[in-house]
Formats: sequence, C-alpha cells, structure tokens
Amino acid sequence: MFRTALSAIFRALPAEAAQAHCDGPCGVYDPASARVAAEAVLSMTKKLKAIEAPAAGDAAALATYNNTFSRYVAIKEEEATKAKKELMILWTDYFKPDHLATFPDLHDTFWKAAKLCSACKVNIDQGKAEELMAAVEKIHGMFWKSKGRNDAWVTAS
Amino acid sequence: MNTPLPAAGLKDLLLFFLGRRRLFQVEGNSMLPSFPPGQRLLVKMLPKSGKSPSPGSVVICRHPNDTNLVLTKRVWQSNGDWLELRGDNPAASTDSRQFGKVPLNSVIGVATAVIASPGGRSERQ
Repeated sequence: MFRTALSAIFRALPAEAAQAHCDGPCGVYDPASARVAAEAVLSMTKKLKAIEAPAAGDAAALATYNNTFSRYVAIKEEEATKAKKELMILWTDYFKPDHLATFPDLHDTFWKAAKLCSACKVNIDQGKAEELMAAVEKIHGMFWKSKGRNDAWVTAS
Repeated sequence: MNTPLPAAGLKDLLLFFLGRRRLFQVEGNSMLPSFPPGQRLLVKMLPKSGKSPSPGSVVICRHPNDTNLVLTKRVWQSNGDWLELRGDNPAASTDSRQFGKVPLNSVIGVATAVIASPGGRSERQ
C-alpha cells in the first residue's frame, strides 16, 4: 500500500527523457550495397554516353530518345543518391573513432567518395563514375580489414 | 552481472526532493526486457571526479556525437576513463558497437532504483 502510493507519487513527478532508441537495429553493414549502386551509376553513365540523338524531323524517334535519356538520367540520379546514403551509413554508423588509428585517411576517403556521388549526379562523366568505383573499392578494403577479413572485390558487371 | 535495481523507497523520495537524485523515463526498446518504454529510473549524479561505474550498471549519459541526446545504456566494460555501453536488447540498440566508447565525462549518472509499475516487478529479468 505504502509502496504503491510512493510509486504513484514518482509517476506523477516530471521526468527527464532517457533515450533507449535504435538507429541501426540490425547491426548488419556491408559495403556491397554501395558497390551495387556505384556500379549502376557507372553503367547508366556509359549508356547515356552511348545513346545517339535521332535525326532532325523524326518526332517519334525524338520522343523515344527523350524518354530513354530521361529514364537513364533518373536512374543515375537515384543510384548515386543510394550510393551516397550507403556510404554515409558506413561512415557514420559502422566506423568508430578507434578505426582512425588503422585508417588515418578514413574521413578523407569517405568525404571524397560522397563528393563523387554528387559529381556523378551533376555530370555525365565516366571518369567520375570510375573514380567513385575506385573509392568504393578502397572502402570495401578498409571495411573488411577492420573485421579482420580479406574479402575479394567482386563486381556484378 | 546485471543485478536488478531495487524499487524506490521513502529514502529515494527524500533524496529526490533534496536534489540528490534525478528522475528519468526510458523511451524506446533498447533496454528491454529490463526496462520497457515508460519505465522510470532514479539516477544518482556522477561527481566530476567520480569513480567509473562498474560493468552491469545502468547509466544515463550524453551521446558522444550529439550531446543534446540523453541515452540510457548498461555498462559493458569500463577502464576508468572510458565506458563501453550496450543496450540490454542488442538487436534494437545503437550503442558502443556503433558510436564507440563513451568518455566518463559524458556520463550524467547511474541508476540506483526503479519506480515500480503498478502490480509489476521492479526490474524484469
């Protein structure tokens, strides 16, 4: 009875919030997600460079060209955004301050990789897309080294 | 290692009104099953030169990367200057596995008692 009354008093008092939330519930990280997105960016960049504009006066061919070009750009944009998001998750959630001792260029590597994602959105630049793939490959190496593994770099295309 | 916290008593109420304890409410699922969302904890402030909380203690601390965010976690390991923290529900917890070790000066205090739920046990095990 007394204990119940005491609890009621404590429950009526204002309490400060102590967060016990989770922003990465599964704890599963893998640079493969960023690699797949970066590969898609490179693939769409190549396709955009290869697509040929139709001859003047062919309205139907122009419509098809515009539609295909727009779709390729939209996919490139979407995949570059996805690659950036996946890289940010690895950078801010997986890697810890302790990792800087092993990888002193960790911040610079991620920062440049994220910048490359943006550059691939702004331009149709195969060189930037290839640089992004190289940056993701470097991050792949850092990630697996941090786990004491040496997983091979394998691409889908 | 995880000794259940006692239910708050009259002495705790007195200490609260004397400003020697603070009252916190758990929000989120990372401390399940010990502390469900809504569970209230009485917390003893950690003095600036205070001893590092021992493993198994439940602490209230500031997030190392966002000092506006106040967290509750359990001490997994401690070396005097740093604490490694874990949620009791690791599948739903962001803790030292993600944000690394937490400096001792980020710790606000250590939970000393729980406010018993109506008809419930003080700390679920």
